[in-house]
Amino acid sequence: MGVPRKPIEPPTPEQAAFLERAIEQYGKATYNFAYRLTRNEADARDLTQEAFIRVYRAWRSFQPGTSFLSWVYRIVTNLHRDELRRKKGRYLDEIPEDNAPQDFGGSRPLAVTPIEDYVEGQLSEGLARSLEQLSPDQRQVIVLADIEEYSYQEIAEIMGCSIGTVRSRLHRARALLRRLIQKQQRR
Amino acid sequence: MHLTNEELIDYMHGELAPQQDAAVYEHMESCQACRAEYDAELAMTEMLRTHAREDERELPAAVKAEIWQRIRNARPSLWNRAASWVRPAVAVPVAAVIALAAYFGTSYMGPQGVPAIEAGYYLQDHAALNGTVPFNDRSVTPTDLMNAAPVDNQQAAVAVPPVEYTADVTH
Repeated sequence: MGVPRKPIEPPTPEQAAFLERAIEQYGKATYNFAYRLTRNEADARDLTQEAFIRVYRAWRSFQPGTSFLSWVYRIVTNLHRDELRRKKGRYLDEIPEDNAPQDFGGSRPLAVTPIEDYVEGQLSEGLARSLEQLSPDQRQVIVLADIEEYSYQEIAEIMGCSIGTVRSRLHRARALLRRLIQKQQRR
Repeated sequence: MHLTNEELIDYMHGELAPQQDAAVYEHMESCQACRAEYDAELAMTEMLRTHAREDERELPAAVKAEIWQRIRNARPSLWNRAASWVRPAVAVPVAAVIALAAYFGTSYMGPQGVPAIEAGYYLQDHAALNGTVPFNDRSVTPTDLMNAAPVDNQQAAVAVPPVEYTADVTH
């Protein structure tokens, strides 16, 4: 991953202590978040590293009393988005930015097979493959809402979009994930 | 009329307005199909969380080491390096100019810049100092000096009448 590297100033003792504590407490969560977004260890390592360098540079802008993890996740999100833009030329959002609910025509879609029906190991493998097929934004909104359990408001702040966009992204991402999981089950 | 999946997802995440939330809850109490759909949404969320727990990774030690390595190798930016060079280069001449200005400035300002001590003030001050000397009968009070008419020294010397001592012959 080629995140642009700006020059770094030598640390003050307070700055060094701040970074040490930040890595100690939130390094693992940040790395896991980065991995869930990228599905790739090398990219997750680079993202985590660059995110903490940004934390180091901007440590004075962190406001005590606010969520440090949300701040780091926002940094990771922006870095990831920049990286995708760089790779693709421009960042393509695959999800339309509308809040219209999905129309199932009054009939119920097929329910996903309950978790108990999965054979151990198949679950992770099948789900991992399904998650990989989602767009980065779809994957991120699912990670933040369903795994990290953030509110729509917090997700909107992390992803830099409106609550309505979070809502519609999550609805569509989950609907697509269900279809992909069902496809995996039929194999 | 069934609930939409959007409503179920928002309900599951606690993102519905209280009234709507209560309506969804009430509906699911009596609608098997919606309850089943809700359970399916819940099951998928549970799958995601289980997968996340199973797939959780430790932060590779190399990541932390690399962060600190980059910071240890940090050098001040070009701007800061330039600023640190510029600082003494500017500060020393400026200090020298200020010192010179302070030194020469006072002597230049001398007669014009500094107001001359008013004669009256000087006299008052001088007299006040002398007047405080106890039992000095030669002391002059400030008012004496201030009220004294200008006297020509030579005239004064001539004008002083010689002291005449007269013997008391009556005794």
